[in-house]
Amino acid sequence: MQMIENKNFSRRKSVLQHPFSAFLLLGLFLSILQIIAIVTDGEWPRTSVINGFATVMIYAIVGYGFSFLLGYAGLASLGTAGFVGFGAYFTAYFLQANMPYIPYVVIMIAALVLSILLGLAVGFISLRIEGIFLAIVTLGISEVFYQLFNSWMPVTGGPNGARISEYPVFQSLLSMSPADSKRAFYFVLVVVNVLLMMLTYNLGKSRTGRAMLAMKNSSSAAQAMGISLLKYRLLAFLLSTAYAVLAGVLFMSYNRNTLPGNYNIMLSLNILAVVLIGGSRSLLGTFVGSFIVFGITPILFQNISFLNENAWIINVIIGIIIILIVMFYPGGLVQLFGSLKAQVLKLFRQRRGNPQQETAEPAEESNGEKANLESISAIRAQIAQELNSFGQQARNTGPGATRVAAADALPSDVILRLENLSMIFGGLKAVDNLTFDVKQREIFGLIGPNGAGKTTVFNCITQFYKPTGGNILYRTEDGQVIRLNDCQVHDIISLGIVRTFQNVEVIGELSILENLLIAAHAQCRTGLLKQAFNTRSVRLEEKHLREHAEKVIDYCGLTAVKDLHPVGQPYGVLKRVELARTLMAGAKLIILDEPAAGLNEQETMELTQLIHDIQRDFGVTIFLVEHDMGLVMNICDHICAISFGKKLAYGTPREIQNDRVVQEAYLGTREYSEEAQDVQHA
Amino acid sequence: MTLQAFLQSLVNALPLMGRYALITMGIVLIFRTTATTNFAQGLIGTFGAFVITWAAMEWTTLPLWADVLLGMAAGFAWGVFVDIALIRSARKITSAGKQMITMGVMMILVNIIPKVFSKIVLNNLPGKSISTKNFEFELFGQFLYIPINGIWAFLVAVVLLGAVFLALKFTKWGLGVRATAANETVAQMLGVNTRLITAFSWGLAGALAAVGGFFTGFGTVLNVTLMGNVQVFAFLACVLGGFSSFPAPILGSVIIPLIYVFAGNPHIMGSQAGIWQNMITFVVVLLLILIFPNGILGKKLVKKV
Repeated sequence: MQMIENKNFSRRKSVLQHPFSAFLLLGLFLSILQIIAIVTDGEWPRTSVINGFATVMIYAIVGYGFSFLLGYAGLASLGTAGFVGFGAYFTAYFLQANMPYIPYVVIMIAALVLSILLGLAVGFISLRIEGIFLAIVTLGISEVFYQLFNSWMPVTGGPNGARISEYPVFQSLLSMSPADSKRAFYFVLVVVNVLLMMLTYNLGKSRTGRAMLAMKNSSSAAQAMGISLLKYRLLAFLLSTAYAVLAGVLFMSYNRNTLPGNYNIMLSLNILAVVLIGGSRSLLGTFVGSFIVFGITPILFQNISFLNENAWIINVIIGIIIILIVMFYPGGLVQLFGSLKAQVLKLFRQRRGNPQQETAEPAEESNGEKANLESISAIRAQIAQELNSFGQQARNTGPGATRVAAADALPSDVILRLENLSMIFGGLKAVDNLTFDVKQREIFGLIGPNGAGKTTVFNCITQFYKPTGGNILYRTEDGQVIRLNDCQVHDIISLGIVRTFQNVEVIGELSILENLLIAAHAQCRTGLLKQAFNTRSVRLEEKHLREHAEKVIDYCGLTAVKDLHPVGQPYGVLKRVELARTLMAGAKLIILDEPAAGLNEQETMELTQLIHDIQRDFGVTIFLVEHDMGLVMNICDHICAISFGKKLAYGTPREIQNDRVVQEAYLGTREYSEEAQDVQHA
Repeated sequence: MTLQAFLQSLVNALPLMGRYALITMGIVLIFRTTATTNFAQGLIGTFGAFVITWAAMEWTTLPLWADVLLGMAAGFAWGVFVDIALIRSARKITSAGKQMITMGVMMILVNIIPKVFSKIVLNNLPGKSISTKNFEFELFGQFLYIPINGIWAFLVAVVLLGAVFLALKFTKWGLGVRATAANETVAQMLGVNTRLITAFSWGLAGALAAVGGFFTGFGTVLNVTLMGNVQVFAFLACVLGGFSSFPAPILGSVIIPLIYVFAGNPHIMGSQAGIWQNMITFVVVLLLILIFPNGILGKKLVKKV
């Protein structure tokens, strides 16, 4: 009995905790307001209040779209006003009195389709511009729209504005009175608002949202994880455009008239404020932001005649709020509430005299005894078996025919071949005619003094740089030989090549577990619409990925920190997150850029063991650049030494150690190194 | 199109170049020293224009140049105030965040300026006016004209910007600005007083904007939207020229007026040219930016991984 009650209780709790219930409650509240208004015939709440809430909803919709741009993709645009205006004027044009009848739904869909085309065109122009300049360029685009609204008299009505004859659907089809139609259309706004909140929430939580966040936090890591920057920037832009145009359509349908002056830069700034004030990734926050910016005056202050007549004061206050929030609470109201809540909870706990100590001890960082390392290694082998049985999702193996070289171009035991690779920056030859092979399933080391061009070689292999000469050939799992020069940087991961970075590149705004999910991005197959509706296939895929990621996390010894954010974690943990990411991606060739840089002796030992185990357990090839000679000599099967972009020597660790040329490059001239040896012998 | 019309269009672009370049220079100074794209730049110019006009009407005995100096001082003070009060404490915030702070400043100014100053216009005050009459002259055998206040706008801009460029090149302050622009932390470590440098740059930007605002609003009823278009064009000039050096944006603010005058030229665009002038200019400039996404003189900066 008790148990059943508990179960019921927890179910009730989980229903309430489901984010959608908050959206539905909001929708219910907004509907009830209007119902009361209808029952009391506008006595309370007044029509101006209802219209105020309608405005809040319309601009909140623009805000939801904008949050993709600002909150997820990290792009600031000032073109929003132009797109809202486009939606409004488009609707106005086709619902004019002298137009033939066109169903409202058709107009809406046409507006959305056009908005996507428009967003594509504008996106292609503006997304070539980096970061903050995007705001300037989109501002220019918005100006073009404004001029159009203001000057194209026959279509837009020019400075006098546009007007539609009847409220769509309710008045034109159902022959309701204008006042009733307007009231009925309010409910359309509520429904669309709640629906878009849900879809936006789903998309934000989906791999699309994660990919955009990855792009915002580290464009290099995102590219290495198979995320096409252009694609996701464009997608964020398209989504925000579509939401803005839809809001424009709704605005026109509800208000029936509009003036071009509505769509100047102030509207774009206000939308920016809406998203910023609320918290750039919080939907309820965005709604509250919209309430503060657009709703306070008509809803709360309508009876305070002083503020009603001096609306400018509200705008000044909003300006001040924007500044304060950016400076002190970049996370918006959500962050403010979060820290307030934490403070209250802390007080509460202190009063109870029961401080809950957080005892998150990393599982396996106690001591560096060799025995301990070996036992961890044994546990890893077990987890690896489970991981291997997990099986990869179907990998994208569709490199175009042009990229496929003849299968016999590489001996079957070679996974990667550099042929006369050259990379020239201006007059500097960073890599000069470099040729070497990496064999299947070996640990291969690339060493050389600082500035030898090691990282450049990595960047050439992973296509961060396009080599200026030579070939890079790679044998995929199924035996195809591919010329990497012809691949794009975000395609590399789906060939099974995954890299880490010299200065760790992790996604600060995602938990460590979610950081791993990013690595599986290229394996996901579900489309955008499915993600928006969070269909069964999406949920299954997500569940499968999470289970997989949990295992990888266990394997890399990150279990204790998996739900924490990487910001502030020790370097050793972050390095392991990067390694875990390569495993999550199902890498066949793992490229490690100075894995031990910045680690202490203890951490280096653990990492060495981990690298060794990964090679053993998953049969992968590991290609690393490292300055820690102990590590390199310890684990590498073959080593290539380079200096000033040229190959010095290739061989086993022992051969490299005894190579005169290498010694010279590291220790100086021959005389000096001989002296040094003499001193050693003596 | 006749040679006369062509040359006249070029001459018409000169005053615009002066006005745009003044605003552009301020934007670049601020961007280079504090990595802030200042969206309140136009409004600081508007503010300066209001102050100059108000001073001219209030103290009728002062000469006009003294009023202009007063307005420049007001713009300077406002720029320094924004830097010290906001931007200095926001050093750790991303560029996009700082951009939003300036948008907040813009929102405040847009709403306060109309409440502080009533709608005022500067014309026909004895001894306080620059002639709006045309100066006529002959070039390549063609008769051309240019409004006298336009000549002033162009000349004053050339003198002021010339002085700024000389100061950048030869003074200690200029060296400090260039050092701060290259790397603020390192500059600080090497003993450059970056606080003074950035505050002075903001102030200078405000002073230049005030002059730009004065020439833009001269002879019209001043309005808070006075500099709206000018600011957008100035920003586009920066992107078009390339934000990575000081002279490049000035190049942008020379090119855009040329596009503008030809876009509004009835000999090319037909009788409706005036209506579409703004829009055509925007479209052409955006297309040019599409061709030069890093600016005509700009370089692409790639992050090293």
